[in-house]
Amino acid sequence: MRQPRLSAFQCALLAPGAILLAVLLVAPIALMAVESFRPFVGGRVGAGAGWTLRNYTELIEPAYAFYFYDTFRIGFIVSAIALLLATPLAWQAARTKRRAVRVSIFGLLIGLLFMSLVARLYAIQMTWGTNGPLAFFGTLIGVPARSAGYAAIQVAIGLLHFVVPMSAIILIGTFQNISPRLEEAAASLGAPRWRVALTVTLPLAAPGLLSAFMIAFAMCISNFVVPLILGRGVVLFTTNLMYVRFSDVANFPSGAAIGVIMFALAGLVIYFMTQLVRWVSPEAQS
Amino acid sequence: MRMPSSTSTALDWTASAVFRFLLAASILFLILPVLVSVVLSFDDRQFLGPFPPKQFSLRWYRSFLDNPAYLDGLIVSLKLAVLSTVISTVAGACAAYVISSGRWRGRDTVETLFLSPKFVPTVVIGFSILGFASAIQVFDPFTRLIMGHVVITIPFTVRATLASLVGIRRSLVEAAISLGAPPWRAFLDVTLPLARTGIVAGALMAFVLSFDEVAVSLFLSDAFTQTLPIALVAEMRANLNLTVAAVSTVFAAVTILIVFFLDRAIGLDRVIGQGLYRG
Amino acid sequence: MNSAGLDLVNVVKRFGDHAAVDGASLSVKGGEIVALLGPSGCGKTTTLRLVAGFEKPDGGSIAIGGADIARLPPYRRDIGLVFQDYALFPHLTVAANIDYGMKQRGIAKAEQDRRRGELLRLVRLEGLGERRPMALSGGQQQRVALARALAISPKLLLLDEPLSNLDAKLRETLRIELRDILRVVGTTTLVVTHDQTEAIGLADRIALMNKGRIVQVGTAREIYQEPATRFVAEFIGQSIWFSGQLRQGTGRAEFAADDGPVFPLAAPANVRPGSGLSIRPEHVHLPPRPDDVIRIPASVTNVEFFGAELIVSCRLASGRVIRIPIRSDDRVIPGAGANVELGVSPDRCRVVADD
Repeated sequence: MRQPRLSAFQCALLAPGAILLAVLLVAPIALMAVESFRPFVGGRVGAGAGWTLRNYTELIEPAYAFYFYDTFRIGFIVSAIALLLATPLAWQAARTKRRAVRVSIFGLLIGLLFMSLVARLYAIQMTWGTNGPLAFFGTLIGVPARSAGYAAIQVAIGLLHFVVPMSAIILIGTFQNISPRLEEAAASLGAPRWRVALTVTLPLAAPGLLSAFMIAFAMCISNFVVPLILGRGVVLFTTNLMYVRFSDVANFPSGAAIGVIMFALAGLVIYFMTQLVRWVSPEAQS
Repeated sequence: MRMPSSTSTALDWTASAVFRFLLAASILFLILPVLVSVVLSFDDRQFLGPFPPKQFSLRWYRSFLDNPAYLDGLIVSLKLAVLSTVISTVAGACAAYVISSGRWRGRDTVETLFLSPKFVPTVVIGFSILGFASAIQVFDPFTRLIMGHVVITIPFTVRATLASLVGIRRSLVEAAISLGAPPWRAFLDVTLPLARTGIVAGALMAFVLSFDEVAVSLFLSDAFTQTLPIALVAEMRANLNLTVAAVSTVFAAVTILIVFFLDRAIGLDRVIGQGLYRG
Repeated sequence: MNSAGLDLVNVVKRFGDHAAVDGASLSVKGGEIVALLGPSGCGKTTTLRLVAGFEKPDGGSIAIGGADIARLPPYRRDIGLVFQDYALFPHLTVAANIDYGMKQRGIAKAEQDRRRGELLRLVRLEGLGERRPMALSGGQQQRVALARALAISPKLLLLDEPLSNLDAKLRETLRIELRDILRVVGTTTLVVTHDQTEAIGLADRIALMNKGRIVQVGTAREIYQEPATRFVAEFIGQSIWFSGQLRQGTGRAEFAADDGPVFPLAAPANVRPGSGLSIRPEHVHLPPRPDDVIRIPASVTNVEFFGAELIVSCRLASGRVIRIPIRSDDRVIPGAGANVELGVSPDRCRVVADD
C-alpha cells in the first residue's frame, strides 16, 4: 500500500474543519469526561476539587437506571414499528413504475426531513393530544388520552414521525439494490408472491432492514426534543435527565457522567450495527 | 407452470391487503398531523377547542407577528443558521475535497472525525460545549450557539460534498493540470463546479438542521438570546395556543418550496439516490 | 514545429516494495511517434504518468529537448496528454475545453479563436464547438481530447490507450485517422498501449516494456524478425519455443532442443545461459521446402479450416503439439493420423534469451 502524505495545499484545505472539530468537539468531550470524575458541590456551578466515581455509581441506583430502561424500551418498540411502517413506503417508492408515485413519496419523505421537528411535534400534539381528532386511539388501545400512561404513547408517536422518513429513505436504497429480476425469477419458478417476498426479498434486504432498525434505535435513544415536548414531564429520556441535572440542580459532574455514558452507548450501537451487518452479509465486508 | 393452489392465492391476497393497509396507514400517519395543524392555524376561536374549527381567521398569524419574542427568535435563528451554514459549508467542503483525494496516511481517522458529530447525541454536544465555553471564558450566548451549530452541521456538508466528489474522475483534474493549471486553479475550474450540487445540497441541509435545532440551543442560549425553536418550545410547554400552529404552517409551506426547488435543481431521484441522507 | 525529443535514462518508480518502473531507458527523437507497448501491469502507464509529472521518479532522469524536467510540476511541462477516458470537462463546451489550456497560458482571445478553428478543422469537428462533450460520440470525444491537448502546442504528446474505449469496428477507422492527424501535426508522440495492432498502426517505432523495463526498441518489422527475448517473440506475433542447449556442431553452432530436434544455426548466435530457440509458426513448412535443411518428424493430430488459412496441429516425437498455419491452396493436406515431416530453414531460427 502506498499512502502518500498530503501536500501543503491539501493541509491548508483540511485545517479549518479539523481545527474546528478539535476545538469544538474533541476538546469539549474530553473536558466533559474529566469533569465527570469530579465531585459535585451543591450551590455552585462547576465542579469541586479531587476525584470521585460517585457520579457513575449513583446512576446504577434504580431511580436513575429506570430512565435508561425507559429510554431503551420505548426506543426499541418505536424502531420496530418504524420498520413496519417504513418498509411498504420504501418498497412502493423503489418498485413503482409510475414516476408520479415515486416522486410523491420521495417528496413526502424529504419534505418531512426538512420540516421543522418542533412544528411536527406540535402538530402531533394537536392531532393525537387530549383534544385532538385522533385522541380516541388511546381509548381504543386501553390507554385513554387523559391518563398518565398516554404520555409514553405520545412520545412514541412523536419518535415514529421522526424516524419513519429516515428509515424509509435507507430502505429505498436497500430495495433499489435488489434486482427485480431475482423476484421475477422466483415467480417464474412457481413461487406465489408472498413466498417470493419471504424467501427472496426479505433475506436480501436483511442487512438494510437491520441497519435501518439500528439507526432508528440510535436516533430514538439520543432524542431530546420529543420527550421534552410530548412527555408531559412524565416520560423522561436519559437526554432529558442530563438537561435536568444541569438546568434544575446545576449538577454539572453528574450531567457529564450521563453524557459520557451516552457517548459510549452511541459508539457501541454504531459498532454493533457494523458488526451485525457484516455478520448478516459477509460479502459486504469488501 | 404450476397452477397456484387456492391457499396460495388466499395468502397472496392477504399479503397484498396487509401491504396496502400498512402503506395507507404509514402515509396517513405522516401527513395527517401536518394537515390538522394547518387547519387549526386558521381557527378563529380564542381557545383550543375540539377539531374541526367552525370559523376561520388569520388571528394566530397576527398574534405571531405581534409577539416580539418570536420575531427576535426568528432573527437570532436566521443569523445563526446563515452564519453556521457558511462556516460549516466552507470548512466541510474543503475537508471533503481533501478526504476524497486518494488514499493518504490517516485518511480514515480524519473522515471518521468529520462524520462523527452525527453519531454523538446532540445533548452531549450541547452539554460539553457549554462546559468547555465556560472553561475558556466564552459567555456570549450567540458565540456559543455558533460553536454548537457548526459542529452538528459539519458532517452533513462533508457527506453531501463527498457524495458529489465521488463522481468526479481523477483524470478530469489531471487533465486541467496537464493543460497548465496549477492544482488550486484546477480545483476552482473543475472540482468546484462539478461538486456544486452536492455542496449546495449540504448547505441546505445544514441550514435546515441549524434552523430547527433544539437540544444544543437549549444548553447554549440564555434568557436574552433565544432561537425561534426554543421560543416555540417554551410556548408549547407553557400554554397550548395556536400561534405555534401558524408558525408550523409557515414552516410546512417553506418546506414544500424547498422540496420543489430540490426537485427542479437536482431531481428528487438523485437526492435520495445519491445517498445524501444515508446513515 | 516546436517538437523536442524525449529521453528516459534508468527511470525507477517504486510503490512500496514493488518497482513498477525498474530502470527504464528510452530515447524518442523530435517529431517521432513511439508506442510504448506491453501487457497490463508492465509499468507503461506509470511511465506515462512519470513523464506527465503525476508521479515522482525514485531514480533516473527524464528530459525533454535535453532539459531535465524532474523538478517541473506537471502544469509547467508543456506536455499534451490524451487520457484513456478522454477526461473532457463535462461542464464546459467543446470550445471551452479546447480553450482551457490556452487560457492558462494567457493567449489572446483572437489567437485562441484562430487556433481552435484550425484544430477543429484538423480533427474534423467544425461546427460542434458549442456542444457539450456528453452530446458527442466516443470517436468525436476522443478527437476533442486530442484537439484540446494539441491546443497548447505541446513539446510532447502523450496518448494513453487512445483507442481502447471505442468499439472494435470503429477502432480500425479511427486508428488510421489518428495516425494521419499525428503525421500532419508532427509533434513528438508517445503512445501507451497494450494492443500490438494499435502500436504497429500508429507508431514509427515500438518500445516493448515488460516488468518495468524497456526490453526492445525498434520498428515493428525489426522486432518481429529479431526479437530480443522470449517475451518479445511471444508478445509480438506467435512463436514456437524450444528450450535446449547450444553446442558446437560439425563446422558451425547448433541448438539441441530438449524436444529432440537439432537445429544447425545459420549465424553464430549471441549466446547467454538460459537461451532458447524461437521459430515463427509460418516458417515451419509442411511439406518441407527444398532449402529446409532441418527436418522434424511429426504426426498430424488435427486440421482446422479458417478460410484463407489452415491450422495443422502436429505432434512431435516428444509428444508436444505445435500448431502451424498453411495457406489453403490446392495442396493435399495430410489428414489426422498421418506421419509427416516438417521443414525449417536455419536462417529462420532465432536463439534468444529466455526471460
